[in-house]
Amino acid sequence: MTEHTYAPDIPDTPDSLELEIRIMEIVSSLLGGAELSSTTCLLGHQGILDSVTTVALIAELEHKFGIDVGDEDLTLDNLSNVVRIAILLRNKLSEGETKA
Amino acid sequence: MIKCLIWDLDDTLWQGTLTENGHVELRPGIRETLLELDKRGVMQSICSRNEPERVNQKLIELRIDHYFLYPQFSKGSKVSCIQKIAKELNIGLDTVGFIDDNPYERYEVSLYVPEVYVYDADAAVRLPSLPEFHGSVSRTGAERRQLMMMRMERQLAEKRFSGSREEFLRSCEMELRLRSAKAEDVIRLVELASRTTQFNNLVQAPNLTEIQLYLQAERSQLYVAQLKDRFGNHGIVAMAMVLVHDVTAEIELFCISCRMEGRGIGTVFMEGILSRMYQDWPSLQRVMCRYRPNKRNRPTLLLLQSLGFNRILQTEEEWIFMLPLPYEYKGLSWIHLKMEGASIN
Repeated sequence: MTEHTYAPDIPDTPDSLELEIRIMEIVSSLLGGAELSSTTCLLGHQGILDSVTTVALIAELEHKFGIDVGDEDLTLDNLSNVVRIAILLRNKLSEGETKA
Repeated sequence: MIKCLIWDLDDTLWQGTLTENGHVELRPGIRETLLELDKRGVMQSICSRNEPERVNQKLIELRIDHYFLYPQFSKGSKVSCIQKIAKELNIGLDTVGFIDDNPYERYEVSLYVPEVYVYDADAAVRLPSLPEFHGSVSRTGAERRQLMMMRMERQLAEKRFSGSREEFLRSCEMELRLRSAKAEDVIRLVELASRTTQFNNLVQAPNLTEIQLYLQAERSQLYVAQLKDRFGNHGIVAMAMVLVHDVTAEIELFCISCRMEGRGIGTVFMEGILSRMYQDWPSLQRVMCRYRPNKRNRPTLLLLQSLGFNRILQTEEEWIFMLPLPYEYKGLSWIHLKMEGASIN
């Protein structure tokens, strides 16, 4: 099952790119179609998401990817941009795989 | 406490079926119930399988169209309509009431969304006397419906707007006025705290006496913020209770109205009070804030972290955050902060 082995240290695998695009689509739709890149600052000073919208984003990710994001995961570091969120997501997905 | 009552129409709100001959009349006592709930600040909505145009026409004819927010018309399950209304109004399902004459619908709703309060149509006129429809009401509370109307208008404007998000937010002309609370604000503050679960660090609400005592105490400060934008005046939308011990201030409780989500009000309010409390007590070196995790109040956790608060202690029930002072106000370009009785540092 090599194709399902997510590697958090290599951000440029097709898996991560696909995840990033899906995350960007969700963020964009939450903001009424705003344009953004994978490194646009989302949360924190000058971030384009405020905390309520970030929570909506997390809820969407939990729903769409069938993962569970805990309070412990909600750090500025994990949520600062799309690249970081994709890494968190891949970790969560691989945790799910290990459990399964 | 119920924040929104969702009405079925045929043989619940009115007598008869709109689709059959179009002749329907409000059931006895319904007009009074609508008015009474509205006065109390309980929002009302509709979940119906009828044709939206015909319903709207009938509601106008009956002169009750202005009561209903985000009415939903769907041939599908009423469960998803209820969920959609709760989402649009940004309230929890456990603060929603649903009234319908059809036992099947009531059963389905109680099964799939057991948090929702479900009532038979016959109970309609008794609803205002039930305990779950009694919350504290203030002048601003009774204007909740108008505020929601403004919100709907804003959302509509947002959908039509083609510029960037920032341009849109700028065009809303938001002005947040931060000041110390006064005695006449107390009822509104009790109401704000009891209605706010997402942006409330402890998910608890102080009562009237606690707030009054707070206003009188010497080493404490209660900050509030009022919001005004192009859609109107929203009154007090945020509060923070701050207690000062020597060089440490503790934000004992803060809450920000959920109706103001997604606009950065929380950020500007908290940045404003962080800057303000240092001006009020220049000997302060740090500020602490407790956070009681509950999936609902996650925005609070994110807000504290985005302001630069660091978690210094964690117990099973609470997390304790700390931020060194002074704090430099950065703000957001689309919200104009006005500080009453102090400057913006």
